[in-house]
Formats: sequence, C-alpha cells, structure tokens
Amino acid sequence: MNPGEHVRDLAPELALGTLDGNQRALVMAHVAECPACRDDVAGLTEIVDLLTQATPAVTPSPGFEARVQAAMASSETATSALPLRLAPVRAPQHRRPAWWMLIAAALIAAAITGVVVRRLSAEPDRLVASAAMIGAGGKNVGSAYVLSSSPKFVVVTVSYSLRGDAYNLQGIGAGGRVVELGALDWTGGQWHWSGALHAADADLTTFRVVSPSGDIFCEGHLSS
Amino acid sequence: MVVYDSSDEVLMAGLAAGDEEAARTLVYRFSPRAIGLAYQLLGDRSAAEDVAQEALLRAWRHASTFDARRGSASTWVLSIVRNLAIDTMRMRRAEPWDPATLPIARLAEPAAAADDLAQARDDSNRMLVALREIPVEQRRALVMAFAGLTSVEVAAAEHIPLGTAKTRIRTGLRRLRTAYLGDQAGASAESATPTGGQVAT
Repeated sequence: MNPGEHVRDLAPELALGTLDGNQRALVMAHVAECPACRDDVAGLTEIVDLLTQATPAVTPSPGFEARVQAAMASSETATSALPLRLAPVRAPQHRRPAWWMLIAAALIAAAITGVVVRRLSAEPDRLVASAAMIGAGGKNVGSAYVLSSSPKFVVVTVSYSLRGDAYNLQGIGAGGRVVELGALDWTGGQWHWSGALHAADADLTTFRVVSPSGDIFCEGHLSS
Repeated sequence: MVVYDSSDEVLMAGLAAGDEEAARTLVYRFSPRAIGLAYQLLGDRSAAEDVAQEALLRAWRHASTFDARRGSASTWVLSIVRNLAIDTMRMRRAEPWDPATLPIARLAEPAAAADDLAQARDDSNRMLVALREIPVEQRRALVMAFAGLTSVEVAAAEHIPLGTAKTRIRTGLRRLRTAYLGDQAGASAESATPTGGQVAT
C-alpha cells in the first residue's frame, strides 16, 4: 500500500479535528514523514480555517468586553485563573546529560521537518501504547500515544490551558532515567508535542509535562 | 505602543510584549467574531460568550506562541474559539440531540440563507457561495463535522452507514476546496468515485 494513499482518506477529518486520538496520532506520524500528505492536510486545513472565518459576527452583550478585561486583570495576579487549571505537584530533580538533550532535540527536529530517512516499509503505523495524561486531583487532561514506526513516534496532547509558554515534555525510562523531549507547541487552543524517539529511548514508559520551574503539570503511564 | 489601528499581526506582537492597550484591542476587535462563531456551534448566546471570553483569555495569555508564518491572527484566535466550543458542546451533549437545530446548520440548507449571505463580508460571502456549490448531502455532513461531530456521530444523525458518512465528509471538504480556490485546487481535488462500495453523495 502506498503510505500517501493510506492517510489521504483521513486527511479531511484530521483537518476538521474530528479524528479520535488513536487515528490522529497515526495520521500525524505519517504526515511528519510524507511531504505530499503534509501538503494535502495543509490545504484542507486552510479551507477549514476559511470556513471558521465565514460565520457571521455577533454584537457582544453590554459589559462583555469589560468582563473579559477584568478576567485578564485578575488572571495576572491569581495563581489559578482558569477553572480547569490544576495545582502542580513537585517534580524530582533528575536531569539527563546535556549531550543527550542535544541529540534528542536534533532527532526530533529532523523528524518533524521530514529530514529523517523515510521508512522502507510501506506497512502502516499502528498504535502500540497509549496513556491518559493525569494531572492533580486525578483529572484527565490529555493523551499520549506511541506508534510502531521505526523510530517510535510519540504524540502528546494536553487540552487544558497552561500558564506561561515554556512547558516541556519529559520521558521517563528504566530506573527513572529522564529524557528531555522538548517544549510543547500551542496551536488551536491545545498544547501538543509530537516527534520521533531515539532508539535508545525506546524504553520510555512515562511522559510528563513539566513547568519551567520543574513542577509536574500532568503525567501518563503507558499501557499496551 | 499604539495598536488600536494596527494590523492583527502587530497586535499579536503587542500582546506578546505585555502591552495593555493591545489586550484591550484584542477584546474589542475579536469579540464579535468569537461570539458569532461560538454561537453558531452552540446555539446558546450565554454559553457562546463564556466560550469567547475563555478563548480571548487564552489568546492573550499565549500570544507569544503565535507564529504569523503559520496563518493569520484571526485564524489563530478563531481556531481557539472553535475548539473550545466543540469541547463545550461535547460536555453538554449528554442527551440525544439534533445537529440540525444548531445555527450553523443554516449553512447546509438547500435554499440560500439570505440573511447569512447579506451579513457576510466579501471573503466570507465567497466561502458561503462555494459551500452551496457542493451537493446538499455532502454539505450537511461537512457542516456537522465542522461543528465537531465525528464521522460516527454524523452517520447516526443522518441514518447512513459509517463509510458513507466518511465519504461525504471527505468529498465535501475536497469539493469545497475546489469550489473556493477554483483551478488552484483542481489538481488536487479528489475524484467523487466511491471506494470500498461506499456511496459518494
């Protein structure tokens, strides 16, 4: 099967945002490596964006703008401005050597930009493990997916608003080994990280979203 | 920093720099469209304003992550609105409901929604006209998917097989792209030929 053909059927639903987590992860893994499908998804996403802008405007009710500005003002001083914000828990201070971070960052960047060597096999990726990302109070705030590609491809999404712009994804391997995977990207109201893992990091069983100060926002333990 | 009359992109730069005037301008500039989009997807004015408020707060808070190379500021803000509205709708959808009752379903009606067309801006008008060029069954499936329904939910709402729902959504979006972009999209438009025994209507 032509891998490009494989996701062409799902590209419209990816652009519309209606794929479930598993399918979304599979398609994103393919799109990261396939320029043709990436262009296809980009073109369809453009149309969805234009449709978003085609809906008629509605005049706000009196006082709406003042309410939003008041919420902004209180958000600047409050520790928890959003109703769904979770209280952080303290992260352990494990850190990988810097050279590992450089290698991981280079591999992730290469995978995302399509520079990695395309897989020789035309076998479609499949989901090999997943996890709910759990925050304080046991709340489910997102998902993590690991695909069977070689190297393994990881997609992590967090649907809740995080304070600040520098939340990072960590992977936890055997013996508590911590791998810094990089900063989450914020698009469409959702935090997101996706990329290929180095072969040496295939043992990662836990993923954590960590604040700049080292607090764990949420954590997911993979299950097959 | 004077941002009131500036472009959306300059406004976003002001937000990222923590400019208070930029924050006020964000609210006044985007509130009508944010509420309008949320209302189309929720059909509830109060809930639409709650969603719009939360979306504007998130846009303000995360303005430094906005990348103009990946799209316009209005697209960025409205995509936040749409995702929040869909999340809200999913949380409220405990009971069986009829997607045809949503305001946005008017876009899928066979007859022209004259009010919508009259109120629309030129670029929006062009999109609404393009939408009307695709078959009504595909338009209905596409509008439902745009409102956040999965293909399974579209199939249930339309009383059609899942494969047919997927085909209608897929073909509808590709045809909309062709209708809107014309020849630019023609080369990549998908054939309407059904696959796997599915009905491409």
